[in-house]
Amino acid sequence: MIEVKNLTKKFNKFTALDDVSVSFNNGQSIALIGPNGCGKTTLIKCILALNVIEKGDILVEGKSVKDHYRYREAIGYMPQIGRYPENMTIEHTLKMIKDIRNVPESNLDTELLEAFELDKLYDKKMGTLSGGTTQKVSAVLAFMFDPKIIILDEPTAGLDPLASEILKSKIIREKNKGKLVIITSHLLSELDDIVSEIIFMNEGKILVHQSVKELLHQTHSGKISESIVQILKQMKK
Amino acid sequence: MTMNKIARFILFDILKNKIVIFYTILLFIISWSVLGLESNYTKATLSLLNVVLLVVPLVSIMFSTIYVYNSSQFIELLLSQPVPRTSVWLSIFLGLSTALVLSFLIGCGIPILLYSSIETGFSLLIIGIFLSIIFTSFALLSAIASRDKAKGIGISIFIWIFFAIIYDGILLVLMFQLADYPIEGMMATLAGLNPIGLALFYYNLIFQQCLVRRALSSNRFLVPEVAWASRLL
Repeated sequence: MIEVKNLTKKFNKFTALDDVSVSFNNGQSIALIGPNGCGKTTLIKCILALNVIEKGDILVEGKSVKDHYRYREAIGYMPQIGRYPENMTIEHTLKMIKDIRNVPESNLDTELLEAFELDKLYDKKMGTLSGGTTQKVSAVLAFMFDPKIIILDEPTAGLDPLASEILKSKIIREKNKGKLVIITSHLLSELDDIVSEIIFMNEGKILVHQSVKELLHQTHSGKISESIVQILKQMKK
Repeated sequence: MTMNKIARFILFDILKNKIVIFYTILLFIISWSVLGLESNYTKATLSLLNVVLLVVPLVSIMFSTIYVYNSSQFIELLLSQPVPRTSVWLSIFLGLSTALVLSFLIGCGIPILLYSSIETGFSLLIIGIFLSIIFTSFALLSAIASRDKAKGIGISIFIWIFFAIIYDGILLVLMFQLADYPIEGMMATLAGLNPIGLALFYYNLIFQQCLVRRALSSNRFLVPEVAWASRLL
């Protein structure tokens, strides 16, 4: 459960987030969508405390992100572009994060690791991997520690069709376990079976926050992409 | 606990880095050739000191700055884990400075042990260790001063030039301008604020001690060497 309260984030004069208040509940799967530079990634980074929060507050599981770093144990994060130390092998990278998290081996979720067949590439250095393989490593790390909250920033960009199908089915399974999943994506067609709620952002504000069922019903369309286009057209009027 | 683990991972990552390996070999070749070619090892150690005073700060500051910028995404990954910011930053510092100190000790330490005396060589090693650590911390400072990599590297180069060349120049000008005033104390303090200058001071002190000790023990005054040493001071 994440609560964002009156969050405002400015980079010099540019306002990335403008008085955003929103709450995400467990068991939901939320898509953050909007044009480039609308504040999606900034919002995610604020939740992870990668950006310093000046105005407003974010509560994760009831604890403010400003107070203590421990709340991040409940979050799995997959960045948009993952870059790792070039000379470390995949095995080392995974081992390092495992060491940092300090979760017993039996509680680890290695489902994705096996599905992506990364164990065959264990000796490869991170610097020599293709973009897609690096994304696979990021995805494995996001799900490995069985976190309550999973945040995915453009998860399927750069993944091959097979891998992105594996990832999608994994996301759906985790959602059904009652976890909170937050996804940002530009590929609206991919979101159809995954998400239960849609948040549409523009210029640092949340314009639409609705469940998918309501949205589809309201706009009389069968696909998220169509209904979003309709909403955008209405707004322009 | 987590800090040690991260520092260890970063350390091993850096030790495998080609630039660090090249740096170690370069230091080894320089020290080996300087010490091996000169028969008077006090003199040879001094020439080596001059090289160390330039090369060690430059490599430490440049390598560390570039490393921090290149691993910005990785730092982000670490920060998205349940780890406090300070321990991530400290472990980067620990990893970087340990790696640079190690490669200095291997590159310079082995030739010194082989060709020079521990008496004179030891102070040189101390100097190298401290310069590596100090300029790594300068690098971390300039890396957070700006988000732009080119700017950060520029700041680093400036810091190096400032302490290696400009600072002494300014002191010299001040000394000539204010020659009529009692400025010894102030000058000593100002000179001590420059890590490279401080290293030179330290070396001269140790060096003089050695000369005096040797002069006393051999019961004869080493006129040429003392004259040569006083010229340096």
